[in-house]
Amino acid sequence: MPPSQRRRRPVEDDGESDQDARPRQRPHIESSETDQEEEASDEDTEMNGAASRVDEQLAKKLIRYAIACEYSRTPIRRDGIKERVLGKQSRSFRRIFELAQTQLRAVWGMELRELPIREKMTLHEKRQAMKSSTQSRSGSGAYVLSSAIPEEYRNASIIRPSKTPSAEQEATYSGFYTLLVSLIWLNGGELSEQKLQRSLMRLNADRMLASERTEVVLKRLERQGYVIKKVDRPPVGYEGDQTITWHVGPRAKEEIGLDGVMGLVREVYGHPEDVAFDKKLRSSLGLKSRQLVDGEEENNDVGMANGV
Amino acid sequence: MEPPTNYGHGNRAFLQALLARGTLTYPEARPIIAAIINADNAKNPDSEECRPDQVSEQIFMKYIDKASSAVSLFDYEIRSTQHQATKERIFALVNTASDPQTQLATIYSPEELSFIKRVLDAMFEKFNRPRMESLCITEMQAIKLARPPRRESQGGDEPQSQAPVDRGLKHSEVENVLESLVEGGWFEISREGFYSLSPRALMELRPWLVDMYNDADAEPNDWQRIKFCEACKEIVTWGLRCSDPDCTLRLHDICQQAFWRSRRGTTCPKCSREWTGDHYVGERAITMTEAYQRGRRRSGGHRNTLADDVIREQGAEEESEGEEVGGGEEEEEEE
Repeated sequence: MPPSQRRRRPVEDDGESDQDARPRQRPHIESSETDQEEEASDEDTEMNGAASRVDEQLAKKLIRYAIACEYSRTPIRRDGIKERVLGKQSRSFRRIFELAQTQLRAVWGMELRELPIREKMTLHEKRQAMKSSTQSRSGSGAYVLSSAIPEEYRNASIIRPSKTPSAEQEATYSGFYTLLVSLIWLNGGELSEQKLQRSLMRLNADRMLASERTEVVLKRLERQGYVIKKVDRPPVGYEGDQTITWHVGPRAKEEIGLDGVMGLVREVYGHPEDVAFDKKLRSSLGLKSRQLVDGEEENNDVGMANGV
Repeated sequence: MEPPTNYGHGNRAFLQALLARGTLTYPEARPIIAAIINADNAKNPDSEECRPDQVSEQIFMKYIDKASSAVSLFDYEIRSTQHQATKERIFALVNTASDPQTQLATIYSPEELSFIKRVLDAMFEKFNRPRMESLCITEMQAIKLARPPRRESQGGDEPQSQAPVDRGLKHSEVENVLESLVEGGWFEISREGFYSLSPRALMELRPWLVDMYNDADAEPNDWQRIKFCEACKEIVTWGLRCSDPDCTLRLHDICQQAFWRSRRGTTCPKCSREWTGDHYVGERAITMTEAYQRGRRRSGGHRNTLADDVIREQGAEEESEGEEVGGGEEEEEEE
């Protein structure tokens, strides 16, 4: 049940922007923990003991559920939590979730992070969304369990590839999807089937990845939300072939993220220290400068929140 | 539900390291703890680098204790056991409560799980008879379990047709599952090619195994499928037995020396027979037989069916082949 190392995000030196973009992150954990603990204890005095004990039991169940799901990269969904953990108490989701989150951070050094909403990819979808979505959804309702320990502890001799199914297989798998997602991202977030196949061929992974068929691995990546395969068929009555494109999935956005992609590219190029390289990398990823990263991410977040 | 005092990032990192590896031994933990201590000191320029050989067993136990008391709030526990053959002490994070939430924690399909259940049944029922307690299985024997036993049509009016049919596994899939169980640390494979449960699996499954395979109403000296070492009270799947085939005294190899030292003479405390130390539990019940040794010399490396021959010859398989152990598939191994 070891989810932790999967969420390794090789943040290089742009820790600053990262923190700004996501206020609930690592360096703030200590403070937020104590805040929440104080809040909780205040509530405790108001609540009677029995009720808070029920809450603690539910939070424990939620944490066990999250750890169990993450074991097989099963998405942790709000609906699943309500159904399998809370049962009749499903209205207290927020409260239990916050309590579980506090305990996860304090004991396991992990946290549940909400996945971004699937973006509308085609013009058609965007138009549909404009028309229909007057009600805005606040989040995707799907979570991944992610390590929240500080950067200096995320070191290969501490956090290793999980033994599920085996260290070798897990390392191969996470290496492969990080590369694949990076390729898509560097291609402007969209990779055609032909380009994907060409890249796989170069990696000698077009048919087999270690002992598995590449096809099977791609299916699994799709199911686990690392990539999205999009098949466009010509409209009814028109001639033409279908086109297949590959996009970055919500799980990859959370788990690997832009900083993960940058980390991989820097690693491949041997950590060049020159500004020109930095500039090239950022422009390949569609980022102009460091300042803009924050701005863009924030814009994205706002966009997602509005369901646009 | 508060974590222990002075529980810091280093302890959280240690817990995650344990979670990823499943088990830890002291030698394995030393470089991890050294790296954690160095990370603790990362912001202190005066600190000296900690080397793995500076991590004492005491420091290791402190990390284990803290992790254990922290996870106990969530019905997990860190248990330790000694490897029955190598004596190595192994620590594992064990789930102490079986609930619907944690039964999701599997990477195996329902077909694979029911295959694993059949393998466990074979280990603890078919290959675990009073006269021969081998408690292990070869790949050939496992392949025979690839498909669920065919249910003889019992009048044809069974209402279970709606349930999805378990078609079992292909032979190549059996090989994959066995390999992944070994890689994942649940099974061990011996040099002679026998699969048995790893210390981690024994720790995690202990209550389930006892519940599943032992008769709760049996008398204290009745033969039971899951046997415990007279000295350390842990499960014996690799050890020694009394030379009286009806006596239920079992000992680990690694426990016997201290056990006999603590008492006068070497007669079995249960049946007073002289202890010979050459009657085995585990794969040696097969491999130490005359027949096996002879067969191996004769056939060289080719010994696919040798284990089966020995088992048959030793009469451990009294019941006919056709008698399959059915039922019990309502339980799933939770891993």
